[in-house]
Amino acid sequence: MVFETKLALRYLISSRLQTSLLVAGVAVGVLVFTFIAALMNGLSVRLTDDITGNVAHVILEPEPRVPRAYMAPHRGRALFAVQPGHEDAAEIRTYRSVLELAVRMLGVRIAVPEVLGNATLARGATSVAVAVTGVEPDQAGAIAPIDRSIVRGRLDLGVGNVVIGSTLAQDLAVDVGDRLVLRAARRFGAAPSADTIVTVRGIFTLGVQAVDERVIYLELTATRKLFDLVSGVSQIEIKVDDIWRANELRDALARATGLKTSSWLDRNARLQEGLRAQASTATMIKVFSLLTIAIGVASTLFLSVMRRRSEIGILRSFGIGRAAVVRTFVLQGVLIGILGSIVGVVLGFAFAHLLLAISMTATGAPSIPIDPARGEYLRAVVLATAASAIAAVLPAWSAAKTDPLEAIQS
Amino acid sequence: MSALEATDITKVFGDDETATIVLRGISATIERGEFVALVGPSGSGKSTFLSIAGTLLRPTSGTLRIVGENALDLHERALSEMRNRHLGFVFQFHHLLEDFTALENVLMPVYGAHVRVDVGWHTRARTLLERVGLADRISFRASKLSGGQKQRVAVARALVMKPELVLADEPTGNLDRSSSDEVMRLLRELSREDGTAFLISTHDESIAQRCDRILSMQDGILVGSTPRAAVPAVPLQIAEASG
Repeated sequence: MVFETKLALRYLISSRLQTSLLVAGVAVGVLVFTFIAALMNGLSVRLTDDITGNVAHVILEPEPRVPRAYMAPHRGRALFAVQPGHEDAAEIRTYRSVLELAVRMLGVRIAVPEVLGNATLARGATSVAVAVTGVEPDQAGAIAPIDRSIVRGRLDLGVGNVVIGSTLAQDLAVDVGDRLVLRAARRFGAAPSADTIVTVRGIFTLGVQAVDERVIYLELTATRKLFDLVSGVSQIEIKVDDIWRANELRDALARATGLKTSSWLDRNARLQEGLRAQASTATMIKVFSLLTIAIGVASTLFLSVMRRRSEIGILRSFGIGRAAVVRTFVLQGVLIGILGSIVGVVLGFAFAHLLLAISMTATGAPSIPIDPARGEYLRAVVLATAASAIAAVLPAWSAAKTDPLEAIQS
Repeated sequence: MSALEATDITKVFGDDETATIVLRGISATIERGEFVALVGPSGSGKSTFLSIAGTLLRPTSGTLRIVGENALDLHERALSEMRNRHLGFVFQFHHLLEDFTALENVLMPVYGAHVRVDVGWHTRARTLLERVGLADRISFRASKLSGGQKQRVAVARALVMKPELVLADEPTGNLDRSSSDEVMRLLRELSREDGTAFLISTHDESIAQRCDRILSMQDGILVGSTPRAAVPAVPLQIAEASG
């Protein structure tokens, strides 16, 4: 291989302009590859982060209650009845053991018990329907980052305290320190619940409209009491380390607990479709950029073979075999691929950073969701070098087929 | 063992109606150390015979032995190895690799031999370049050398593997008279010193006259094999050996 390497290097060095153009061509292809990867991966991460950052990755819920049948079905008709009372509120009573089991599972970051319910929050004559989330005070920001989203007051879920969304605060014209009346919503026909006086201790802006205008946070035990739960919780929300393994954990948790489980992927099927379509588009662009590299390398090396046919002929006449000729030209493809892709990766990395810098907005988030760290640089180098080497095979084979006599006589 | 034994070599290009018979049963033997000229008018088949002798072209029929080995029985790779080991080539056009130095060009056949290109080979290549009068051009790129110098590098390249037979096709055809004389003097000298056989195809009568023996060809037939002193002005009309 020493001879072939020497020959390949000399051929490349002696045709400096041609080699430079080839390297530039490969570099541009790799630049496109890494740019598209950084952009599409950045967009994908931003979209998934926006969604998964505020919600649970896996939710464990009690099985929904099936109305009891009071008469056996007769001629296709059945009589069902639902009895009012404590049993109507679906809850996970053994939630502590479920929690223990969940947090021991590999890949589970945190498991948060929650009591959920609908209520009315009133100030004077104004009342608004709200969704109450009851959590342990130290876990309030574990699922949605409420702790980092407080815009006024603080995240204090002490006795009689409540933390509410900023839009809701606006709608009710309340601020930190104001007192409100909280009343649990009851099923039609049930006895009305007693009013609870709560004090607004914090106001948050999560940036999700549905949460900011409707959700309030309350301490877990107080919420349980508000909704007449005996000792359980409405659901357990779980955050996992790898969001793309959420379905695996969902299934494992379902098997282990017997509870109804769902993952963030189940609840965001459209996002998945969108991400898949986006990934397919990115793959197509990357494939085209690799094809461009391959065509450029193949055509230039074909020209090189034509130009050097008599030299190849003379080498063949000295006993240099076809395999050595093939290796010489494939090696040129590999060297061009390596050099071009390294230049391309450096340019791609710099370009992604430049774009990130110029698209930075006042809030600190870029308007173009490019992520320079996700440019798939190693993959770009490997694939571009492989494309370049594969593209060199045809010209190399054409060179190896050179008839020494014909080449010498020409 | 002869350097070359060609027996009843024929070569036909094309087939059926387009068939052109270029060689019609050529038989010739070249002993080791012999310095032989191959003469004949254009189209007489000199180059074709030289190409067959150099195993660059397969004959239509006949046998060819290079240093006792039947060349026509060998497959592609073995043939390449045989060319590398036993044969040297000097062409009308030097066919040097322009991007390489004179020394590297001389070493090309060594690279093809899949041997370690060690100091010994470098020394031999340098010695050859010194012997062809290019001691001060060893590290020059081929592209920087004159036509005569390039042809001398080509001569050194042909001899680097110590071949038994060097085939030279119009080796001085592209040179002026003084360079031509110089190259011929060199070939003759190297033949004597190393015992290498030379088969030199040429149009030039004065070059032929410097050889030990002259093979004359006409219309694909070997019409004479004459020792130098006895070469007549008109080639003999008697085939040395024909099928």
